[in-house]
Amino acid sequence: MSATSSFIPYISLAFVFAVVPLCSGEDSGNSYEIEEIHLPQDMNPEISGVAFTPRGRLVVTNRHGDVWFTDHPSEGPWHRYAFGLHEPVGILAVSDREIYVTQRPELTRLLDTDGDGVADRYETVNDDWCMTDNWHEFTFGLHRDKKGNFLLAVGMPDMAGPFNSRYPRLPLSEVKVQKEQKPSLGSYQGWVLSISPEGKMIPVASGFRQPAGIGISPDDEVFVTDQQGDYIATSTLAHIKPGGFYGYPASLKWREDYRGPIPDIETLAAMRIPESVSLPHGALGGSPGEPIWDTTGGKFGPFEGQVFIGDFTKLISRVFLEKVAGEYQGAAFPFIRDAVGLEAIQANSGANNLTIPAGKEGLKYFRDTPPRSGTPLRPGNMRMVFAPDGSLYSGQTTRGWGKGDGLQRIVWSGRDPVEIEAIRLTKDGFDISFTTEMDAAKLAAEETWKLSRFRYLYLPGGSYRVDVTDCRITSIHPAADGRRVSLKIEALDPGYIYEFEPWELVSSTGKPVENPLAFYTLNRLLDGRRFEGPLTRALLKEKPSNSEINLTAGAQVYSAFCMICHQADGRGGALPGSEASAGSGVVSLAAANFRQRGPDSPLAKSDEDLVRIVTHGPEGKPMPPFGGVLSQEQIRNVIAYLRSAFGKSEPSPEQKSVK
Amino acid sequence: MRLLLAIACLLIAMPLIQGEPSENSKQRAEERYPQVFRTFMPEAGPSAFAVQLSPNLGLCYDPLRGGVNQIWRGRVDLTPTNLAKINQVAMVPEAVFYEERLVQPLHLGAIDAPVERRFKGYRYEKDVVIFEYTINGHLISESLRMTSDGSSVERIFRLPKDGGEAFLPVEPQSKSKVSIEGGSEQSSGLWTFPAGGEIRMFIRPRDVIISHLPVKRRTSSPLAHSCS
Ligand code: HEC
Repeated sequence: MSATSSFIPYISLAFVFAVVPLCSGEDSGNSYEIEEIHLPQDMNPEISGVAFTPRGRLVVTNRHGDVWFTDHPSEGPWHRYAFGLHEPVGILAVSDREIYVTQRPELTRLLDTDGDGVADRYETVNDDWCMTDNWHEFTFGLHRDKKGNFLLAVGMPDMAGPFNSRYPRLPLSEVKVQKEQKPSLGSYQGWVLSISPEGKMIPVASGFRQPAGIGISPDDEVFVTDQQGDYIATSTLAHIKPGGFYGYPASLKWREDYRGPIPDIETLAAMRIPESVSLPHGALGGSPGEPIWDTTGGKFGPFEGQVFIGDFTKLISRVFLEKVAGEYQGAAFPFIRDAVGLEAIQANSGANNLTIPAGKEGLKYFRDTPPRSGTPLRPGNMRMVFAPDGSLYSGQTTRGWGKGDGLQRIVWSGRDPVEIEAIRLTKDGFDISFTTEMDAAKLAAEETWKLSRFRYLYLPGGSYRVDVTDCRITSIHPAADGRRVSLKIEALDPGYIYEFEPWELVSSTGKPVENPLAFYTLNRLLDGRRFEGPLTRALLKEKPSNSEINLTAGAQVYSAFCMICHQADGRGGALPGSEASAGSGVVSLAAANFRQRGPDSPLAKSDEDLVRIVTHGPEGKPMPPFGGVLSQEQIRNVIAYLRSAFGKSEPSPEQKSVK
Repeated sequence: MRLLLAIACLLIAMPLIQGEPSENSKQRAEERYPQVFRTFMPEAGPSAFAVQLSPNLGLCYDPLRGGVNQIWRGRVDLTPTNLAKINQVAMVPEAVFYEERLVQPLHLGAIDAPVERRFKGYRYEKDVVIFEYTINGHLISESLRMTSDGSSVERIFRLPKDGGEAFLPVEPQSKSKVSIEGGSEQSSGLWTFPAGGEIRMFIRPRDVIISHLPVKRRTSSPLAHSCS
């Protein structure tokens, strides 16, 4: 499947969605509603940890270091329990008077010994790892296993900020294991750690880049999310095994058996334990947070037992895990995404680029967003918890990277969503189950089942999708109840991520699938067979980039990405929303007019210049760079379209066909 | 154009409301002192403490160097560290009247004994914050409080019984007068204290003239009489 062919259905989907009135005041029809939890004005809203005490008190922590609680989340009042903690990003509430937090330097027990609702003891439970005051050094958590051990993860510092090596807690080492961009400067940076109830630390597993989310399954197994970048080709949900190495080399040097740099990527590749489920970068966000299990017994809808993962972008994903040949793997789906559209495109520059994930795959992320009404989801969904009433609380902090902090609550409406419930591997394909009865004809139709596969490489520079191919489906067997379909696949091989894009699939009552996108990470076949090929190079050749110009594809790119600013007639003009921000001192809020003529007009430039401008964005102008979003082929197509539609004196027929 | 409208609607619908003040949240302890903030402090080890004993008297407590790095008049400003994306250190007022630089000054057993110091946390009691740590496994608590005239700092270390004699070099200060009780000065600036005893240190800015240190004494202290 090439990028272009996968792109076409999404454009059309965007139009399908566009006709749904998004701002009507009537019943939204959302299967999940988002509610704002209002926070007191004197609370910093960067919620970086959220938990409930066993008797149902909501406790949050924020990045400025407070802990607050309330017994009535929707109306308050809130009370401050503790303050002055150092960027806590994990919280666990044992009781109203005993709360644990992971702050940068330590795991801390906050005790209210006199019962006045305010912690008076801040006890260091453990601090056996290093830190250097680097801006990016977070200590992530916090959950406890059934034996009472605390599980936390230590992130990696970032070279963009300074280090403080004055009076270090442990010896520091700048030695690199390989070519990693983020060094593990102090011991156990890039590790998952376990801390016993008595406060003894046991290093559990290494190889993490930014393990911002740690979770414990109902079966008491530890899972961690890691974040895309160098070595970690895409964000992950990994099942943690003691002693395991999960791919980011920097932290290996704190292993007892470490003997020196490992220049050979193949050696690392052989050591690396693959993630249980890949969260394809862009399509499923960019920076996952905490994984939590739906143990609400159906109060949160039909996904009991599944995993929910918030993301730094405006996304919450859902993961179905199954054990295949003794190991976890499974399918990942978008669960709630906010319509990001223009706002995200405009924000897609420099420091804000996490708002829409960079990378070519980001394309889908912001085109096939399902329509939602009501309160939109904010970004920064790094910490989530299920409330006793079965609703999902999402603590949101963007830590200055983006805009939007706070606390939202996601409530199941009681209506069955129209979703893929799960995807299970079979011996020759996949069984796909649904949350509701589906349209029988659509379920059985060949056109419905668009399936492709790809993989990621394990390389110092990270990896885009490689070995992308369409998959041939050899048989489609819908179940009689309309809630399940079995697909047989011609090439069912381990080592690939299978991407499902059900096309125009609707329920028996005609409602479209809310999130028609799923990724199954096939590490193992049922017989236990694993990928034997190279993890460090592609098996298939990339398509040559100067393939033929496709004007229709160019028109579609234009309508999806350019028209909101440059207008259907190509005349550009005031940017949407710029009326509101008039007088804000922004230099230019008008998009270029492609119908302008003369030596200084946009289309007087060479194709080469235009490709460069669209790829990197025009200098100093509020147009985003599209290099991370569109392929070079798509950029060439859209430029050809500009010339054909607007370069002549009269509007061309193609232009009229674009809405 | 509907797509555009829809997006515009969504943008407008973005919640700007960030919460209303709740009545009872005023019950919080914000006006209570001391207040301890773990943060990025200038000239300190990673994750040190800004301690305000009052709105106008504060200090940096460094659990890694091992002691009070500075004492100042005024209030530390945490805004830079809270707002910066790439963190910046907190802003300490210019009116610093006490500074310590020796690394791990407190020794147990002998002045040249190695010091393995582990931070154990802190607790609030009335008008006082008490830091706890171990040196070579022996628990020490160190309380910090403002004197009742608001000008000076009282610092009391409670020493372990089983750690041997304690040794503390006291650095000369130009802007404050440091008086020590509970031990004896062996040589210039080097004090020793018996095991299980207390080190009581009073740090007063030189520009404050008072005839006595108006701190409520703990009569239970075994060394209170011999040293007063
Ligand atoms: C967010 C609004 C926005 C979007 C979306 C947008 N542009 Fe632009 N574009 C602008 C602005 C603003 C300018 C600068 C106008 C000026 O020169 O003042 C511009 C300028 C241009 C120019 C002229 C550059 C020059 O130097 O003359 C080209 C070509 C262009 N855009 C192509 C595109 C294409 C192709 C897309 C879609 C892939 C696109 N733009 C999407 C806002 C946008």
